[in-house]
Amino acid sequence: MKRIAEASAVMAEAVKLCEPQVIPLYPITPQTHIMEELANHVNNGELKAKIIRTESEHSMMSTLIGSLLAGSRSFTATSSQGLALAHEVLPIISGLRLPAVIGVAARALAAPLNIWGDHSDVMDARDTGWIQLHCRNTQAVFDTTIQAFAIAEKARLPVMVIMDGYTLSHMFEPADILSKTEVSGYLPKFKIRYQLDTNKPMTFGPVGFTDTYMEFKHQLKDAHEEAAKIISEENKRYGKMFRREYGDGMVEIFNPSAKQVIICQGTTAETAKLTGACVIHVRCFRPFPFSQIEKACRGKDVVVVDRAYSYGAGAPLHMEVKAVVPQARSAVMGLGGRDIRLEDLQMILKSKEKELWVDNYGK
Amino acid sequence: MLEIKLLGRGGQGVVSLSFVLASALFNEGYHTQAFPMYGIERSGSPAMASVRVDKKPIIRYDQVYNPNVFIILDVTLVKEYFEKLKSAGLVIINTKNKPEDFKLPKACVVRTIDATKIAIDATGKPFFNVPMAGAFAGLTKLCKPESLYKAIEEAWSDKGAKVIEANKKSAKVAYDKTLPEKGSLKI
Repeated sequence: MKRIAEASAVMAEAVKLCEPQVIPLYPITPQTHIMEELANHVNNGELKAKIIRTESEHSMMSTLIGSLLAGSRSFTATSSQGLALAHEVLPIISGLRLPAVIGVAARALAAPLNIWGDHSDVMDARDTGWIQLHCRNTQAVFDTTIQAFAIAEKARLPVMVIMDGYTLSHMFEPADILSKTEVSGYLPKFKIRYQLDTNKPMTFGPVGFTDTYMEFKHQLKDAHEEAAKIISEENKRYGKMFRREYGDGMVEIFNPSAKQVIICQGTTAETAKLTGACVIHVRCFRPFPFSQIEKACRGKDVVVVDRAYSYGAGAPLHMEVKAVVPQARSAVMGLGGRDIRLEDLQMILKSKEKELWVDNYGK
Repeated sequence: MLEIKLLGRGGQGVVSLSFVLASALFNEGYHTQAFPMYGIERSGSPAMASVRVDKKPIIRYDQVYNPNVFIILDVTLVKEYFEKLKSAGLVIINTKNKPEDFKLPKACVVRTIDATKIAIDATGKPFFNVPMAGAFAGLTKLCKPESLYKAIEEAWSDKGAKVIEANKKSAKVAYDKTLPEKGSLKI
């Protein structure tokens, strides 16, 4: 049913329909509305889940480990400094191959203190072994959240469902919400291969000495290669059931015949469509869809929009793209919530600069 | 596409009003979008929100810069904001004063309504964002009172029937007090 709601509430609605049993939480702007809504759902009896209020994001993310190992589907959400504080736990979750799903309302990192949206926090977490899925509108937030549980549990990898802080997390717009029956028809019952069981004691997360650590990490690398296939399959299966697909699951390509290409992530992909250029929305940042991007960009003028920067090196999305599209130019935009206007996107298409920082406030 | 900008102060219900308007216009069958422009929230500091309305799906996620309609909840913000304003269509101000009391660019059509009084009379409290929604509906005729009532019911579903009924009344009084603008706005 089509309803109008805030994207954060829509994510909470999707999570509710996936019936997690445990939700550890710690508030941080601009993610807070997701947790508020989930707490409401639990409070009014629509969702039978245990909410655990923790004293920090580090504890919140650690609680996920316990609840998942105990065999419960679990969810949490965070942003910015929260994700940064939880960072230490992120590779533990992927290393333990736990199917955690978290929502991230992507936000800038301090200093200077800034509560608004960009991709600094999620780029900071890109090497932690998590799958990273970006959403370009409220409908995508709903669909991606549901798919994320299926992907995580099949790939045995944790997934971050990312929406632009404020620009999307606080966007109030229509979305088609599925029924409980529809979601149960899509999402299999929660299952975990190895779980805490007093009848069958096991050790989780022991020391990986020099003779085994590398093998574990090799398996994680292979798991990500496998995950790319699973993401595509789940996107297709979801599309077949509910008639909404997101490209091949990894990338979405709009207006492919245009000579110029804008590669970006999140809501920018929507506004960019109005420029008339071909728009490649990199829905999945980890694993990274190198071959799809290379194929779509052959012989074209390409500009990559980043909302984060790897200081001393370059813009993270651009660096990945450049590996397969050497002619790709870089445009750094929208840091700390700076508006990415249609005019700015038109301007970067015209520019010939190899790297452009669009910091033209009020111009 | 029609773009609406709302201006008020933290605590006056600017963001709620943007949601109510988007929701009411959604009930009319339009594609709508509402979003706040948050600062670090403090009661009393200027707060802004925007609404977009279109017949086709909206695929823009940048801010609204040149709105067709301006709704101003707090009259003390008029001067400060309009010095920077390049263009505007319909400007609706919550004030006891008359439109001619405001020196705004000639392109603006100014309409005033004492929403604070309407709200206090109807609800006993200065929830003046609701009559501003009523005034918008009355001036533009883009949504029927029924669509607005439904939006009010959804927005304040947790506040109980008494509050909702009082606010519906408050919206209706403002709706009836405002006359439609001749052919000024189209989506």
